[in-house]
Amino acid sequence: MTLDAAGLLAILPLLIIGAGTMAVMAAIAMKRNHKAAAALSFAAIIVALISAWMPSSVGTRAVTPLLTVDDYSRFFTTVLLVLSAGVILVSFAYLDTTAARREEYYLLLLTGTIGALVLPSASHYVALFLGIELLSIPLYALLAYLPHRERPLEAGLKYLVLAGASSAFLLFGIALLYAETGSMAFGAVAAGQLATPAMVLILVGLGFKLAIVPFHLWTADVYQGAPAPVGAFIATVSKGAVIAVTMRLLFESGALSWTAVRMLLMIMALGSMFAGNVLALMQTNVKRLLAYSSISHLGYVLMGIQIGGALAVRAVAFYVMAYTASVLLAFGVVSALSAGQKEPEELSELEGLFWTRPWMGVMLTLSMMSLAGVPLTVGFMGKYYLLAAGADSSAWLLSIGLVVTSAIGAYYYLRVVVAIYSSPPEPTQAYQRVTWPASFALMLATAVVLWLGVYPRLGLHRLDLAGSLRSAEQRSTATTR
Amino acid sequence: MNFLDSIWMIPLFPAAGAILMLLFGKKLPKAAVSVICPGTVLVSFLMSLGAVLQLARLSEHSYEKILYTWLPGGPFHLTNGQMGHLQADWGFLLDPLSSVMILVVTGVGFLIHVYSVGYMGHEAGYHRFFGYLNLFIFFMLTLVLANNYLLLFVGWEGVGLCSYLLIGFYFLRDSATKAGIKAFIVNRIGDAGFVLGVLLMLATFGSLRFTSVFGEVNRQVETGLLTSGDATVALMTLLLFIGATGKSAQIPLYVWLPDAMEGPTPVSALIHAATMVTAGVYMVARSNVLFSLSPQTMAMVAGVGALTAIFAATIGLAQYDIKRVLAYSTVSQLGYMFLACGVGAYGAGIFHLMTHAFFKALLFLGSGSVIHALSGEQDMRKMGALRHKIPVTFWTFFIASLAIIGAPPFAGFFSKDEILWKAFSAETHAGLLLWVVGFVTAGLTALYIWRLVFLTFFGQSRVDHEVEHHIHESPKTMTIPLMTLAVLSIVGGWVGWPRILGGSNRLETWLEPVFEHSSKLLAHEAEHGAAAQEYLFMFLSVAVGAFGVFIAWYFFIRRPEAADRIVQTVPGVQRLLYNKYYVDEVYNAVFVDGFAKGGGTALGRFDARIVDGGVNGSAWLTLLTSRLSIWWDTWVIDGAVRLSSFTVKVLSYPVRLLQTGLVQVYALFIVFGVLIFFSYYLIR
Repeated sequence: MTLDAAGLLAILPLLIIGAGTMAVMAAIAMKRNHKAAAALSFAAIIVALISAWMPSSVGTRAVTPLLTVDDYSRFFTTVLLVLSAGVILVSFAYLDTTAARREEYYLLLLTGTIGALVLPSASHYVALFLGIELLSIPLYALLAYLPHRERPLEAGLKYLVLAGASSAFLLFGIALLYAETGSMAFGAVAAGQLATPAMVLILVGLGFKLAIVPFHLWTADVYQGAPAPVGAFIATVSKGAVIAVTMRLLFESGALSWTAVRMLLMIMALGSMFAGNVLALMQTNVKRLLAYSSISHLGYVLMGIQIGGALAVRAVAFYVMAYTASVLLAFGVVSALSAGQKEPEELSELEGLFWTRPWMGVMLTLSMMSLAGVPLTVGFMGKYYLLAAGADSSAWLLSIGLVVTSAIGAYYYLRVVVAIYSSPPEPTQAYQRVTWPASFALMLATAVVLWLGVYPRLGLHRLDLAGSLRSAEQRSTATTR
Repeated sequence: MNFLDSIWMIPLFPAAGAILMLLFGKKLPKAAVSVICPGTVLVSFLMSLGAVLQLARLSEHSYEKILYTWLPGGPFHLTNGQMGHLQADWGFLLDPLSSVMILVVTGVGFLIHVYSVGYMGHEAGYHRFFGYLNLFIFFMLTLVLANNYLLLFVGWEGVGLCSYLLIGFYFLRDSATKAGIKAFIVNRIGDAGFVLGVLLMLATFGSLRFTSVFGEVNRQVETGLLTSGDATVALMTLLLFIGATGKSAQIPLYVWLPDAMEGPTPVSALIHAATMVTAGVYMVARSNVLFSLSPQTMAMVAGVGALTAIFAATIGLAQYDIKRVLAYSTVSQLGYMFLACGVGAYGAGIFHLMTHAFFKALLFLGSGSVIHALSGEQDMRKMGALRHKIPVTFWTFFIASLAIIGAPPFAGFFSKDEILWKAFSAETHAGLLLWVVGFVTAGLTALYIWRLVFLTFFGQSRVDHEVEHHIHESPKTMTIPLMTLAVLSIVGGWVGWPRILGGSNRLETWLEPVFEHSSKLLAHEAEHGAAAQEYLFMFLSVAVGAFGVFIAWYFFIRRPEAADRIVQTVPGVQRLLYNKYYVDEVYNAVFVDGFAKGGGTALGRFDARIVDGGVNGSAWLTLLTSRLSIWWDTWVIDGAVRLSSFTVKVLSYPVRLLQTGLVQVYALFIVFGVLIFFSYYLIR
């Protein structure tokens, strides 16, 4: 299939971010200016966001065998672009006070975003691999972006080594599958001996990126070591994109109906829920705590994927949005308060935050409550939809797992809240003054967390998310016939 | 004005007050705070009153107002194979049951707000306190007015959160923060049960809206699809009841309530006596159609209620902190309410909920007034002979103490008597046993409350010398609510004047439409047993109350030394009661040290070894590697040759890359995971 004009239009967001990256690079070459680089990157993302929803972009369209643009990919593209924009806003002030060379950061961020944007529309293993690598490689550099600090460097190297290893598993799985079917399309139906081991290997690779038990060990170190805005990028954009592609892959390949894969997904989901929540119980470092909490939240997402069905697809889509908005808020507050070389990441450093920085305190509280799933926040809605999907298909074990582990999890989120409202230490913490781009991003995230908790109407039902996946499934069965 | 159509506005006034206080409270003058916050609750009360009066004129006594579709949803598979429609509204239901609740919440809530103006006047964070208090009223009203279980859960969690905030209000006091956290965690255990119950309901009946769920249940009962004793319904109600034990402080989840007394006294009166803790009783009464379908759960509810009633009452006997006595008394009285629900006398349970709200709020506020007069002293051993010094407090407290022991014609007499009679006349095998427990508890109640009265207001003054000079009656803002509640503690029970005493029991008639379906299910509701028997029981329960008062008088006024002698002869019992049967210690050892810390530390240690490295880590690593290599040899044969060579490369490559050098362990773990997965695949 050749690339025609309509196809180009459909993948316009990708092209725009690509062009934006070039433009930022050219701008840096001409003159170093932090503001200009940030503004240009931000503008590229906004334009891409608009282009994703042009009137011409409706329905499902295969753009080359690699990509499929449909409601599903458009939804995730939107979410990922908004998150990237948020990360840029949060990064701006942070970099101003910390890094010597700031402009290249945006190049890396935009490149990572391109990789993330490839994933939701990937319908071919080549696109999957390209997307994942394009997302990961800039991350290595981003993690170690503050080279004079010890922890980021360590985090970057750890991530590099482990991501390399996991990519190898992924590739091996893809190779096995290719040997079986002779096709690299997701929809290629594999039924032979090698199909299950191949899919298991692919899940290992993806499970690493998602930090699912037992591939979760890197998370805590990397989250802790990462500069807070980069942590936000990993926790939101990177996770969201990989979830999107994992779900599409499992649906379109039909692997979701294989007993072995279902069993594995269930074990991974339950394991992540429990391990993540229990490990976080004793944490005093907020970034580590968020890392462990992300493990448990990814477990919930995996539960939704494992359940399958239209309701579950919508629940997962909603949950991704809910979780990423909440966690962006948490990382955003930490970045916004970071002064110079020091990030306020220990609980003791956040004590009395409410009394010195009331708005930041309230925002961090909201984020924690949303992560804990307290009603009237978007986190509760996310869990509700997942539970409803669980009840819909009688997935009782997973549903009970979700309820029980969120009850356990409430404890450590509460510890953060208690610290925020306890009496401020003497002398009070020196926090960075919060700049307007960061406050804008934080306010937006707060609005999402609150508004979608009270009025969770996104018109998600108008988007045919599951339809996109189902039709692909039907397509694939049709081709075999 | 059509109040019925604007019931959705009732919770909004306190919400607006809360937002105003928390955002701008610091800048508002104190006087403005003192007017705005009680004012919002008063407006809510008047609107509730208007709505209830209009409701009474409707023929069907039920009005549903749906504001908007909160959670839109699609088609949904039920467990029975049919399709349901997933949807939850932001909707409110005013019926006889919720009308009683909103009047209690806003009415008592308003009085306590007024009282707080005086009580909290000198405290820092005045506006914050009122902000939380208003926020609490908002969530409580949402809870009782919700027309579906999900919105009810919003209120349910919300009141828990406010309760946590208010218990920890004196956040500089370490014990207060700890008590707040304890309350939150214990409640989360209950909430997990509640959520699972609601989930099961959604999957079984396809809706969470009260009218739809109960309509569906009634339809299925009529068509014979659903019969009494159905296992799903039994499980569902059991899970819901676990939620109720958390919120309403019943065995085994009652432990948070006594500690919650760390909060300011008006909070104890409002949240931990009159309103929030009764949410569990309300929820069970609301779900009466479901509970009545499950005799197993009903027996459980009655049993837990009776056990909690007598258990907490005995603990109350040996406490010296005036607020703790009242806290255990609340736990005990809540037990009565569950006992009533468990024997199918939901109306009696709600009746007692109402009268209890009056007299227990009064007791708490009165104790607050005593504490206020004594500059913060809460130990009854340092009180005594206060009746002439703070007369208004004394007389109102006196009335409340008569009400709680069920002296006629005070409020408690009617409701407690009705519960005891219904417990006895319920056609269960345990009817007599339940009555005996309730009867003994009534005696114990009289004993511990009058012990409190005698120790505080009578006898010799044991007040510290410097405190003695400052004793003063509380300001008007505090005494007027006391007097109002005292009047309610007398006349509040008259709405349920029983028929055999020539009344018409209007409350029961009013509530009847809510409970009519369960009355049909529980056939025994028809009054049986002779009137003579009922008179006898009425006399007995009054007599046991009087006997309790007499014992209290004998031991604490007439012969104080006798009490000490008893304590000395059986020191173990006293110590056991004073230490609350050591339940907290046991819970601490088993759950906190055992599971949470143990599990957390074990996993944390595991985590630390892997993540942070160290000597132990390397030992562990060696062990793991050797294990792995054995595994390796076994599985390599089965065809992953390329995998193994590749992994060895991965393992050797990064060894010297990092000083901590433990990245390889992470990689090893990935391999480990793959192996586990493959072993599953191969064994299968």
